[in-house]
Amino acid sequence: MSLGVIETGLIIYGIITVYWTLLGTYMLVKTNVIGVKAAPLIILYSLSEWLVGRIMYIFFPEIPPHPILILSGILNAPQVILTTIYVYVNTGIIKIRWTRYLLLFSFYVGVNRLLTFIYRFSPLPEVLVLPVILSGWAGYPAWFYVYVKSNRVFTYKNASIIIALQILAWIVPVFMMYNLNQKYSLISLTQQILNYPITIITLIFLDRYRLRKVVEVSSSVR
Amino acid sequence: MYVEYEGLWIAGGHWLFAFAIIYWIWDDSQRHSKRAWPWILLISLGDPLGTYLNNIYRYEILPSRGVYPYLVPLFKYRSDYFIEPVWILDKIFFWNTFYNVVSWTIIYIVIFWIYLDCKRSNRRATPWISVARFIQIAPFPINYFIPLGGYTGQIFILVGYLLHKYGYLRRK
Repeated sequence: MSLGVIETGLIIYGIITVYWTLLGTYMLVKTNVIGVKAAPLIILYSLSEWLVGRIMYIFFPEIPPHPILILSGILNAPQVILTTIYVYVNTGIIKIRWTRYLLLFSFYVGVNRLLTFIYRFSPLPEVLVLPVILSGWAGYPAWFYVYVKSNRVFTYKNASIIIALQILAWIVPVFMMYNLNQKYSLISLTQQILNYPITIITLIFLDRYRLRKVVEVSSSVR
Repeated sequence: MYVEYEGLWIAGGHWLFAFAIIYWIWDDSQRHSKRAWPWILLISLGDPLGTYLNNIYRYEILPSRGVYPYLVPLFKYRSDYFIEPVWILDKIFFWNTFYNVVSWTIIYIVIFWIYLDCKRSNRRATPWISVARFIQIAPFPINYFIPLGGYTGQIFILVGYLLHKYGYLRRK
């Protein structure tokens, strides 16, 4: 039996994916980022995410790849949680109730994917810009729960400043798209740059909250 | 020929290392009660200018500029179109794949080892991890000014770390 180009390539890249997944999981377990019991789940998730992505690419290579856009957000959701909230919780920076957080985050993913589905026949760059902007508000319940309600990382005043900045970061691309008729390349550049202040402020406040807690704990020990 | 399907050849599993690196930076900063934000920011810069340039040529955008990539039938190899035969491109393609696997293995192992060594000796690992990661994913055009991608950069980081560890790179 001779294998075709796609089959051979997929086998080679499948082997590479298994290699990266095993090496990554080994490092995560060895440094106590995840427990041994969670390792098979992580391996299974990582492999299936790659496999589904490749199957989608083979069967839906049309322009733009809507089924891929819709499914990729759902598949990426666990990664987003693991690389942010799980890290903060496990390193003792914040505390949350997982059920409550996961419900709120699922709501965001649901709205995000629904909007991508609704906008699936939109012209470019609308299909790339609008679903992200419109579903952005749905992320706020989870964000607000983590940073304002459950942990006092932000005061209400600071939270409102960040939300205002975020709204500005959404308005500018829409204005560029409809009023200035700018190309998507420039809009995508602006979107990245407009997110910088929000990232910086969030990280600074998270650091201040974290270090303040350390000072409080050490002074109470004395 | 493999090069015809280049969009298909993406390996998974890399996100696990991004996850590990973010965790290690926060964990290390917690243990030493030091700021983490400049280091996290350094590796979260993305690539705005690169995004801008790539999106000019994004295949979904091309039809609006009068270019219809999907009207071109699947690539057919005709030897008179090429100076070199396609099997050479395939060889280069697989050589690059193999080189990337080796190179990124060295990169991840160096970062992993530095984190473990710092944890054992109660040193701060964050600056080393963050810079080691940054030089691999530096945005354009910084990556042109600091051309230390691949494992060459990690050798610099590893040598620098060892020199610092044994007291050669410290301020008097």
